[in-house]
Amino acid sequence: MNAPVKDLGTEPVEMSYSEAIKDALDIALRTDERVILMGEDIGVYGGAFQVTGDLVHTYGEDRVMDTPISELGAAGVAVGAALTGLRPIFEFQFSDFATLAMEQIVNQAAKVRYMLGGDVSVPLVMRFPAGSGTGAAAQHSQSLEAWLAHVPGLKVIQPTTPHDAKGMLLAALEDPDPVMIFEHKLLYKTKGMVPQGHYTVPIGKAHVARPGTDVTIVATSIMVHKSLAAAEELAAVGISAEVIDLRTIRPIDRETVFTSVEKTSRLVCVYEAVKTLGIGAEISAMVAESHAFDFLDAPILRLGGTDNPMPYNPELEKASVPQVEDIVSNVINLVKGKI
Amino acid sequence: MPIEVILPKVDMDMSSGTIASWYKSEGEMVEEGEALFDIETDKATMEVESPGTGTLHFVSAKEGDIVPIGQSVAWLFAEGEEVVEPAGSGVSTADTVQAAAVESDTTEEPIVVGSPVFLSGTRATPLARRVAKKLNIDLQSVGGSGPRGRIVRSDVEKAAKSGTASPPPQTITVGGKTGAQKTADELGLAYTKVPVDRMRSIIAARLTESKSTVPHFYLNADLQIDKLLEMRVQINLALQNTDAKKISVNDLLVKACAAALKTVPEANASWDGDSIIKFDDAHISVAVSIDGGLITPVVRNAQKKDIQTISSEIADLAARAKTGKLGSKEYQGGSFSISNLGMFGVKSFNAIINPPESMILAVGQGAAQFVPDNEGNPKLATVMSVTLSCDHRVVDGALGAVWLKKFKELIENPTSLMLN
Repeated sequence: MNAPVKDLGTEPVEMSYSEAIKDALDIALRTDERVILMGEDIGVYGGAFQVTGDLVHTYGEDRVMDTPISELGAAGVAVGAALTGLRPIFEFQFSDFATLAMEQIVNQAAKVRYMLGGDVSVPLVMRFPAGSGTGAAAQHSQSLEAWLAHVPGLKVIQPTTPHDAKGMLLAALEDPDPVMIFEHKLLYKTKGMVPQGHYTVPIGKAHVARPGTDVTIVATSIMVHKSLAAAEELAAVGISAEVIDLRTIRPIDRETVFTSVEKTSRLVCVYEAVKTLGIGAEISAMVAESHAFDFLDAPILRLGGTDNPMPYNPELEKASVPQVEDIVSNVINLVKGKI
Repeated sequence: MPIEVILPKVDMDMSSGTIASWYKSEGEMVEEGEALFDIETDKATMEVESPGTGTLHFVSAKEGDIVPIGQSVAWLFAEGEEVVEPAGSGVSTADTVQAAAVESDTTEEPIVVGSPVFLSGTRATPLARRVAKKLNIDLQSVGGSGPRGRIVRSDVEKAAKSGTASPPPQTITVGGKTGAQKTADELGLAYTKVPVDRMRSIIAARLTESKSTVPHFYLNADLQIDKLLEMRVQINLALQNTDAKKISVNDLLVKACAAALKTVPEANASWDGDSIIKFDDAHISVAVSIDGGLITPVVRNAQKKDIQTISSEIADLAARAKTGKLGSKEYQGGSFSISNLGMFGVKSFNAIINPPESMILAVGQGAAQFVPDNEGNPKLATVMSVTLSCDHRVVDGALGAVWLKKFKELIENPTSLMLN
């Protein structure tokens, strides 16, 4: 089989995050025969979040496969398919179900290259609709990305815009090793300008979403949008916040974070996952261990989810994750020297 | 969680304080708001209240210890709480480091005594430490504006700009004695070594800074004070059968200084690095000699006050100064100083400017001497010599002279001092 054929990008068009992913899937299926899609109800139903749409009608059930309700078994098949030279893209209905497939993800996909002396690789892409805000309660609203980011051998990405969702998915397909994509469910409807045709956004490179001078906010996923909204409010009170969209949480783009901290001297990490032992802890420690430590003029602050299962009650659900006003008030306190 | 008791910042320029006395001892129960210990700052003693209720444990600073602001001095444990020493308790100050260095008299190797930038007892952000190192500033001399006195970058930069910070201590030889002591030892001279207390070291630092960084010049004048003395007699006669305290010559001099500043407002100013601060009112610092040093309490807005008010304020400030009960705001923020040594028989002297003020008036004794009258015949008069020290950055020679001329007129024709 041949390597993917790249189209030249043309004029960007506006599309939603889910449309951008579907566009990437379509390009991948069209240009690379090795690509197959796997997942529960991704065929005729079009996926739990309607991301795969009608791709099954274009590419057939051999390439857009509905899998049985057995994440463990299906993920195992996906790992095996990748080992045989295919490029499977596996969709979990909810990221929470990753727990059912941990053996295949953690012990097989992440380890096989190492166990076999580098003679084989697992070019597998897994997509995880994640996060809260949909009233889907404790077993369908988690943010488990840090779990997988803890495993050597896996790459973990969290695109936040339609542009990056498409470009990073296509970059993931070019990666010879397993790449886990966490897509926040509330982002599927968000819109943005997306180039047509094939392009990639590199994995492992953070994006300075808004430059600033007083404080660095390193955010992931939907918290990037909340942080940008917060930065707007902060600007109104004279605080210039630099917002970094981390995009990849393994491997982390250390240099972009360090450079920003050197500039602003204050660091706030904002993420939806439970605060304890989360990505914010990693970023904080990373800065504290580096030369950037010498540039800190205030303690590092983590704003993460509260330590509880995600409540069903919408008000409690909202209270369980950082909101724009939380970011604003905490940043003001930090910059004013009250923390 | 035990409550940490830290040394609070109770004074604007304070970077450390001395624990004067503890009201409570280890293991004793303390209520929130109860007096816990006395802290001796540059020039006053303040009572520090307990930040919470609990049993006092792990008192790490004993009486007499000099502790940087923001440093932990003890912990309070709530009832039933397990008493385990919290991390970070324990005292480590420049003084303990220095004491240790001086005591170890066995080596002649040069060492750096307590490079304060790295002292664990100072709460400062990494960036503040970095900037302090770059600017060669002793963090111990910088006040922290952050929570619990943490020093942040802006504090260091502000201190550097205002010139209130001092450089880190220099390398010295362990066991190295000062020049005076060394010479005395070599010649076998008998002496007593008296440790310098906090006030003495502050006076030393401030006046060294003043004399070495403020460009002084001096203006002398002889004032005939017979009319002033006569007026004082009249006033005190009038007060004879009242409860009011008699007014002194010094009270009249303070009033005259304020009145002269009101007439020459350009002289009522301070140098502030890149600008000059001109005060709207005359705040007269009056040098008061106290045990072990001197202090300059301030008579605020003196140009608006009558002589009796000024007199009673000075009496109150001086009395409280002698018992160490002045609040920091009462001896800071003067715009002009007056120092009177006439009562000691001093004829005239030059005073060192009290920064950031830009003028100080040194007042000598009023003594009888012959002066020519209008016809050139000798006339006996009481003459007082005064010397005005000026900061040339703010007050030029002519301006100082104009002020002194006005002052002389007021003293020699004192009736107008009775008018506000």
